[in-house]
Amino acid sequence: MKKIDVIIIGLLILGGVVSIFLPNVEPHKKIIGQKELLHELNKEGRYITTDEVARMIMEKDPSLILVDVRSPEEYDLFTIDGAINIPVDSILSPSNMVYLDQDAYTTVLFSTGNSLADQAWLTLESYGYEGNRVMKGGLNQWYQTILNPKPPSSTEITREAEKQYLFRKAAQIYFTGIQVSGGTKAQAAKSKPVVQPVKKRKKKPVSGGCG
Amino acid sequence: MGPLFPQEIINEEFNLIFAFLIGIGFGFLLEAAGFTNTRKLAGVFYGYDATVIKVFFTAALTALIGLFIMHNLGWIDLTLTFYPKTFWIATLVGGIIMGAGFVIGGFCPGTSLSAASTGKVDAMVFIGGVLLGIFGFIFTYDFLWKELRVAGAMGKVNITEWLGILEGVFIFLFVLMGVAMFYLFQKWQDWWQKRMSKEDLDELGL
Amino acid sequence: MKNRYMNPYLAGFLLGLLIIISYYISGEGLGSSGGYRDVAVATIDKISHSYALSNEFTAPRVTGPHSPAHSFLVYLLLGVIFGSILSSVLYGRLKFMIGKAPHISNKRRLYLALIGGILWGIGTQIGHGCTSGLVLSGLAVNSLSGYIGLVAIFGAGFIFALIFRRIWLKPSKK
Repeated sequence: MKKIDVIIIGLLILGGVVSIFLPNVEPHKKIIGQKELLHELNKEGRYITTDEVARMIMEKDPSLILVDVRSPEEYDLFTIDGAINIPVDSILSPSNMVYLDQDAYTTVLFSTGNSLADQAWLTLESYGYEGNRVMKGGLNQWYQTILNPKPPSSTEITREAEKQYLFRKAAQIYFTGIQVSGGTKAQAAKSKPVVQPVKKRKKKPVSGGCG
Repeated sequence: MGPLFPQEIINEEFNLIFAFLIGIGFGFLLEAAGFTNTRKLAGVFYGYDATVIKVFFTAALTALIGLFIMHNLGWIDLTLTFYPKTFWIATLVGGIIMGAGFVIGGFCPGTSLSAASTGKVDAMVFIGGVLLGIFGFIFTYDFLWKELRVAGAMGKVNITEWLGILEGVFIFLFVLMGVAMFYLFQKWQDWWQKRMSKEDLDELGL
Repeated sequence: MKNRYMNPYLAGFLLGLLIIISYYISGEGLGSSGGYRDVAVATIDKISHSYALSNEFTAPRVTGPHSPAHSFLVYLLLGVIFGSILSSVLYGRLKFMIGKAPHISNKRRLYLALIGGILWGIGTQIGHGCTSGLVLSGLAVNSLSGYIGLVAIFGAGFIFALIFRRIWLKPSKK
């Protein structure tokens, strides 16, 4: 054996011995205490607005996957077109991972309000399945903003509010087929989706070494 | 505190320049260690060349110990880095296919690029094969591989947690295992050394 | 002429340091097959964007910021090319040749290389990475998948090595 062989093997053994006496901070655990839990919950970019979801559906964005996390009964009664049903208690079952575990799709979880979808999101996040989104306000918000949008009240008329309303009317026609009376129809049909792109998450995800 | 890029301490341009520099180091070491020589690579499976075992395990152990110590000292936060998720069935099946590819083709993707760059025609053909394989995989993905690719999904799993032992102890045991492997493969190589022709040994650089 | 190679322990040690630096600065391990995949996906996207959008594997990789021009792994592979040439020039090994065991014909070696490559292409995509990204970088952070990959690739390798003995070893005359 050469001198350099001995030195390097010696270094490895020394490192191994040192490792035993280190405090062993677990390197991969994502959620340890309440503080981290709160941090997770406040993570930027967890939510996606109903407007953004509607725009993606209308543009037939291929990277969108809608996941209804309510029970199969509720899913049968009403859901958003194209959504798949993964009830929150079976969210971690391996057969669903094709939808939930990826870095590139926009997987959007939704329930009636926020709570079930949040729960599903947090479960996924704590198991390391990151990058999923929650539709803010759930189906309630979907109904109020997309299926049955209200014109902005006179006190809050701004260009943005007006544009947003026009987009929502267009989305309403797209999703319900309801013909809207009056002049708004023509405007609504013409108006392009005007939703601002969602701000990217601050921390850049790492893309992965291989695969 | 590291990692720098995921925390936006450095910008993307720098990160890509850095990727290029790391690649130069990677390629240099692969070539210098003899990983462009397909006979040296295949030698690991027959025991006539222990280089792959020595390089591979020394690299893995060095990185493992270094990152573990840095993480414990708070120099790097490994929760922000690339952490391969475990799909045990997919990786097992894929790994077996790769093992066959290794023996038949005599390279792996990283070493073939290194070898092709230095003029090895067989490595160029091998790379063509890799790309063909990936194209074939993509074209048949929707109906053949979609399920298999995520089979056995377990999330981010650390082996020591899975085994239920302390990480430091595991690393120590892994070092001992590595040293034992170095010893056994060296013996195996020595056994061959007496039986191989001088031309063969010269080509392998032994 | 005898080939000269770097001391394997030293090469391994430096490679390990390189992985540490890569994790420290970029948060990425070393990987190869991911870069090949990015190139393959980008090629398909160039030829037919509509096909790329209809395929479930490529669709999420061609929408949004997934251009190979911004891929860490693609830049890494470009570096590998330069680094390898640099080393082979220093050691005087830069020349066109076919690496193989002496008793195998050139044609046969090239066929085998092609088949091996195809197997790797499929295997890396099923198994989520290759020896560098899945196993080496996985082992560096004690990921279970790295160990499964290690056992599967090398375990299968040793078994297939018995079957394909004649590719690498001269048949014994006994």
